[in-house]
Amino acid sequence: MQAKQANPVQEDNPYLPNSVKLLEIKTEVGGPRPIKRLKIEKCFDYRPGQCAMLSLPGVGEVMLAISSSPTRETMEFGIMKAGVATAGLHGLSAGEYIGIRGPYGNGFPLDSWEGKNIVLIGGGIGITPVWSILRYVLDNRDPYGALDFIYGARSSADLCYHEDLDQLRGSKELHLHLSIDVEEPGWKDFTGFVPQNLLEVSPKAEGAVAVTCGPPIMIKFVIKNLIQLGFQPSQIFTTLERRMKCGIGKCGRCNIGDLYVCKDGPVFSYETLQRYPEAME
Amino acid sequence: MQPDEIKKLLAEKLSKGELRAVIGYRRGTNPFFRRPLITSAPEEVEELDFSPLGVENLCNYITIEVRKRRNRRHDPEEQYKPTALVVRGCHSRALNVLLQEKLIPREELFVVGLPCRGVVDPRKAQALWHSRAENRDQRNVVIDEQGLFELKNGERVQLAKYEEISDQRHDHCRTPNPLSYDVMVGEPVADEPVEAEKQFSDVEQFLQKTPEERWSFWSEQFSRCIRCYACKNICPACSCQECSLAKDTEQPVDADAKVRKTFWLSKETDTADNASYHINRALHLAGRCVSCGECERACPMGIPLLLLYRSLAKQVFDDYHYEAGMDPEAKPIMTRFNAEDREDFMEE
Amino acid sequence: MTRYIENLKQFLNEVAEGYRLLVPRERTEGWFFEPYGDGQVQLEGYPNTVSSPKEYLFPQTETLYQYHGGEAGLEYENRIPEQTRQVIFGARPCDCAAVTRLDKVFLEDDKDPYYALRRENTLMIGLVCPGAVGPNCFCTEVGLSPAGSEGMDLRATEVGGGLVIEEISDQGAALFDSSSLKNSKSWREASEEEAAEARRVQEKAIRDMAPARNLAEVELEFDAPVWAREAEYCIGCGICSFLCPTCHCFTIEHSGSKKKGKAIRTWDTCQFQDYSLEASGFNPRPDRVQRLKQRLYHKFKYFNDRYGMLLCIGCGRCVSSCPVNIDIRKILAAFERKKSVAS
Repeated sequence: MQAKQANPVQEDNPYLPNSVKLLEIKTEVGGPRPIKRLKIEKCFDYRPGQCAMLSLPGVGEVMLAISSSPTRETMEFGIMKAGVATAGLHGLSAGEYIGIRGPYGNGFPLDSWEGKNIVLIGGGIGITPVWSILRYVLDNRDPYGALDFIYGARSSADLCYHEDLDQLRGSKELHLHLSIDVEEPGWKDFTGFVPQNLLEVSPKAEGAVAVTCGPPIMIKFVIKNLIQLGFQPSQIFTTLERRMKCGIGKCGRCNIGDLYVCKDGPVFSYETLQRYPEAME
Repeated sequence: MQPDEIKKLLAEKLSKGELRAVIGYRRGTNPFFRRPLITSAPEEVEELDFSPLGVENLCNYITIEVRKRRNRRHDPEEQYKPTALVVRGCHSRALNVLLQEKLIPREELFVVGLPCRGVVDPRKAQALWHSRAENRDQRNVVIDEQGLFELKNGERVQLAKYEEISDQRHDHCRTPNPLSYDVMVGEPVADEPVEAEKQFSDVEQFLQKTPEERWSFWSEQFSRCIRCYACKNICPACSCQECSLAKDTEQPVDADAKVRKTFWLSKETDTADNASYHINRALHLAGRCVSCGECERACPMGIPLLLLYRSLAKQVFDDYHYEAGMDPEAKPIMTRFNAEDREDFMEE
Repeated sequence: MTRYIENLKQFLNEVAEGYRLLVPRERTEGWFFEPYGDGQVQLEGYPNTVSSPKEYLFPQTETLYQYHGGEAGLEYENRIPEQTRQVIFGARPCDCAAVTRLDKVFLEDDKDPYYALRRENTLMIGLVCPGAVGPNCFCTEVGLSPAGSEGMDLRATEVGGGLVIEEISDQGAALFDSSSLKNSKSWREASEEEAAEARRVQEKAIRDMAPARNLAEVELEFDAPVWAREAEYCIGCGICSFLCPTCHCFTIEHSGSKKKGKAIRTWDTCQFQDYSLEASGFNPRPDRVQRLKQRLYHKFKYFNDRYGMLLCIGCGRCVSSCPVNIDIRKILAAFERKKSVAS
């Protein structure tokens, strides 16, 4: 994977962003908390699970999981409109410029997962970090075992990346298990919450790792059910988020105990999190 | 009622479940002022201290409680048991401001009025201690109504008379005795409050300077501000859930609402932003500030904030003959008008 | 070489010729570090400053960068300031040790260029304490010393009306090679008796401040009732953090338009209500109790777990300046020694 650098990363000043052009921006989910998908040229190398600080000039910065795979030439982000920076990003058009700096964080330990079955469990916007794994594994299929993707949202309109999901439905490379929370006419897959769907799918714990991202309440029950299915805490991974400003472990704000989510995370095993009472809020 | 009787009464009320908590003063590790006591344990009521070292405006804890309730979106119909609150003269005015603004119903408070002959100025007392004590160990500090003493071999050695350590605000005090109370500690003081027309002599003196001199003075003062917001956070009148002057306090509303919000100033500590912060806060307090002086006491950089707020209090008094917090039933001055209000500042 | 300075004013005048010089001065509001300016210096009765000297390495406000937007994208421009060489004279051993902690945060991994530039250009002349100089000093309880040299380039001890100056770092020694000081009469080599007296002063200070306990050994308990009790009084201001020599939290604020703007950083504190408030409205530390815990855990556990040293340096400023007298020493007294520590 040769990184093609559109703009060289500013190595002498870690706070200084680089300019990057927005290639594409499209709405994935509408409604009061819309989600848009942003695409830019790949400007640095990264690992699945790592993040980047996107900078909206004059407004602010936001740390976002890179949801694309580093095997591709473009970088993608899935952004929910929540505050001024994300609202500003939502208001952009293709061709406009933003700032970017990164990659930040530890990423998923994909090398140690070779030979294992991978179970990805996501809810709503929580698809973004696990999508990076999914795309990466599909591009590098051989080293990995079975790939299961258990993903759900409130309704079919709230499912992110639904075009991609539709394309993957028939694929032999992975098993897709979609769900929506409430009954909907025409919906043929599971109806119910993601943790319940997980029990339905009932993946084998032996020789597997599980990655879960989504609303805190979903993660809580997913982990409970994974344990019930026989997964050890060291086999369970999640990503945490906290408010961030510097992204490099200096401004102090994103800490959980002695760990900085920006630097030592955002990927943490459940085994690690069990040692931190502050973590599972 | 004597202090001991009051403590007994409060402890009994707590035991019987008639009070939610008692808020007063008690000894801490700083010998130059008393720290707060907030307790629902009857045995802790014994620690209450009613000395002139109880400086803090405890009404601030009512403001904090109200903000906490709003944050949690508490049921407005929910009944809370009364909280006992110790208030000195000026603090009872602050309480009236909170009652006027309907922050909390009077029934939720059990007011312990504390007549006041002037409190200790902790900064002055500490400076005198530092310059006059033979052994600066603060465990040897003794302060009472006679003054400042150093404990030397079990003996009290006077370092300063009470007048030297007392807060000068007492000279301008309009309410040595609390304006309303459910019980009073001891007897009312016979000290005469300053006459209304004479209460702003400190501000009048300052106003003799030219506008250029005054701006130069305040620019220099504001340049030392580190924007710690202690002045705002210790003030009971600053009850806003979201302060428009402390940028970055975003309440959970939708993104579009956040985008539309205007921030009046930046967090930079340049003169413009610091001056903006202080001047705007002073304007927000016009007709509401009761000159309790907590802002100035709390300021770690020693900025004379009280002078700024009293300048506006004087303006309100001159224009409307109104003093903040004198009458709990009065409508706050900035929410009403009458036909006689001055109009000379309006241009054709 | 160990030196002796008889005429402090002359020495400082000479330092000021080649460096921006900061000295402690007494104002009506308390002692503060100020530019040397008119040359008045008086150390009689000097305790410690109200605010720490960290502002000269890590200022309250600074511009990080500017940008312009145009057809070809955004152009980001560093705003790393021109830095003149500076000497901070009279910083107490605790404040000098604090610099070592700030170095860990700002210089390791992803070096902070703003801090690094100021740090490279700063010389610390520390002043030994004759004992506890402030009302709430407890440096020895956090493993430091009133005569310690950690973080110093030169160490000054008051002896016989003047100062014994010991070289602690190469940069400190090099100060005396500067053009204004090289052949100056303001200093000379210290006599053996003067050097010995300095050691006696230092040893006495350490004896006088023999610690009652070692706060690095305290076992904090997450659910202890003392947290909620003390948090009840906290008004959530920034005094403790802003005056603290080791608190390093900051926020980055952006302003401008798509065409032109800047990013600045200012001090921030975990004690502010919205410090960790997320855009979704979720706040992992919604109440004062979680924020108080965060502050003390960071000082006495998290930083130690990460960097092998306590973040608190025992200066007592937070205790002296807290308007409601929250005293971290009292809070820590509620906890026991770790059982794992060998007696």
